[in-house]
Amino acid sequence: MTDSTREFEVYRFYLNLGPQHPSTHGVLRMVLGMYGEHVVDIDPVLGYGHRMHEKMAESRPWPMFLPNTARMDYACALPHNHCYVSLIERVNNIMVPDRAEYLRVITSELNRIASHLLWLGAFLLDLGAFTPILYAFDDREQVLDILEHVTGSRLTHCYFRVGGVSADIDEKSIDLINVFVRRMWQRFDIYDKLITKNIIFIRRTRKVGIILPEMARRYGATGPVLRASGVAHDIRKHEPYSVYPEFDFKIATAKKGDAFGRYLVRIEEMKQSLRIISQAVERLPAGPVRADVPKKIKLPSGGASFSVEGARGDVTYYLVGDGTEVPYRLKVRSPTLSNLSLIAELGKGILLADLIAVLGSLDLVIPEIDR
Amino acid sequence: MQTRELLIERLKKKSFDFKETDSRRCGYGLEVQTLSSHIRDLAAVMRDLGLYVVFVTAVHVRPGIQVVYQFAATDVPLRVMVRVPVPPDGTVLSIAGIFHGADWHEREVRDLFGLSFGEHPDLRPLILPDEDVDLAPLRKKEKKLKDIMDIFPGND
Repeated sequence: MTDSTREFEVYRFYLNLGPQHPSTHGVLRMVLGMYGEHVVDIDPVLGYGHRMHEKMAESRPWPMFLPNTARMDYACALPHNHCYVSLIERVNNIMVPDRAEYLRVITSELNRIASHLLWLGAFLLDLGAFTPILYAFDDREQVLDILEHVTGSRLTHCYFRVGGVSADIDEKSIDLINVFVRRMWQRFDIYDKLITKNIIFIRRTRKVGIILPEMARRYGATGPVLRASGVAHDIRKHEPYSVYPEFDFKIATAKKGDAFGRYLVRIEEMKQSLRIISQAVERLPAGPVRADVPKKIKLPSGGASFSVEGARGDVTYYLVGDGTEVPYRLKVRSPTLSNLSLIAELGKGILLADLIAVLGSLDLVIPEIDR
Repeated sequence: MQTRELLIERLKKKSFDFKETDSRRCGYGLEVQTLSSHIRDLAAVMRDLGLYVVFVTAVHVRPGIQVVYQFAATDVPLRVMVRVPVPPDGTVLSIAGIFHGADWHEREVRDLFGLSFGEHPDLRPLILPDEDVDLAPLRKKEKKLKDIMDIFPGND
């Protein structure tokens, strides 16, 4: 052993981060090998929020699993909802009325904005900036009021049903949405002044936690994490589902793959979501919101999958049916698991304070990883 | 040439058993069946074409557990399902050395199905608590276990 490695071994210590640390957002624990202020190795410990949703899916008829889908990614429940009902519709060839698909898009995009706002506030809080979360929650509250009015719940929305949605939207909700969209467009100026041009924020996030496209692919990272590395991959555009092809919106990307880029991508995504919502509300077709589907639907034999773009990336459900009402096997692919798995490589050698910034920029929802 | 055609060409060249499926009906455009000994070859083909691992999981059927992989491309709409029967010794070769993202997925499959992945860099439990690490909760009871022909019709 050389002198320098001996010194390294003597001075290396272990630091336990979480599971109750505020910047681990939920219950993630990380055992960090430290050398002074530098992180030398990271061992994430998962499973504190494990509820075995996939086993629950195998032990009950498929409609009874619908509420579970809203309880994995609590910050952005509707895309999970969307994925599950669309998968059941796919294997049974069920057509959904246009109005219902429009309502699905409107509510999913509102949910995406709410999720990004929650992330924005929490991320800045991790970096030590207390003010932005007050602004972000002010906006998020408006979205939650609308979603509560439309879907009936503020957090674990379970609004979609096979063949449509559970209830039609009323005039009051449309007005609320229009008011919110107008208001939100003006808010970006405030965020710009408050955050984007803040020198402390820039120094803490620029060139920090750089993820190259090759690394993102190797780990299967998707969503804003992948797009911030310059890969324009968005399932809404790429493998279009629902009525997304009818709307004009862009895929937000950044070039450098650093934490600042991931911030820019999510801000731009909120703007694109607003554009989708305006177009959908304007063109909302009349008609029923739920197709006439049989009460009992059996799941045919064989495997099938469906993918949607959640707020954090590729949400995929893989269903194996056996001709009964109970799924034989249901796999839930949560984007956060793959996005977080790169942290051991990404965080090696950086400062502890930067690790907090990197974790925040990945937008973690731990119950989605643990399921 | 498009990723899809390139992939099909390489699968043919390495004589993999694959078939094209209708992605509007089942969500993926290609289905590959292979053996544990060839899964790394296949994964390397996927990596070279820029695909990423969507998930790794398993389905418990009679006569044995099937490990299921999904890969997806980021440049064209293409998803590939791969199915590998678990050999009698309960060990499938790990692809974590090719796709680092498969590491955690394989650890999760170890937890939920009690399988082992050969040459995995670090096959510790991932999500189950200490007292349940050998529970394998997603293995079916004999009564509920179905035949592979009923679950994946048209395949062996």
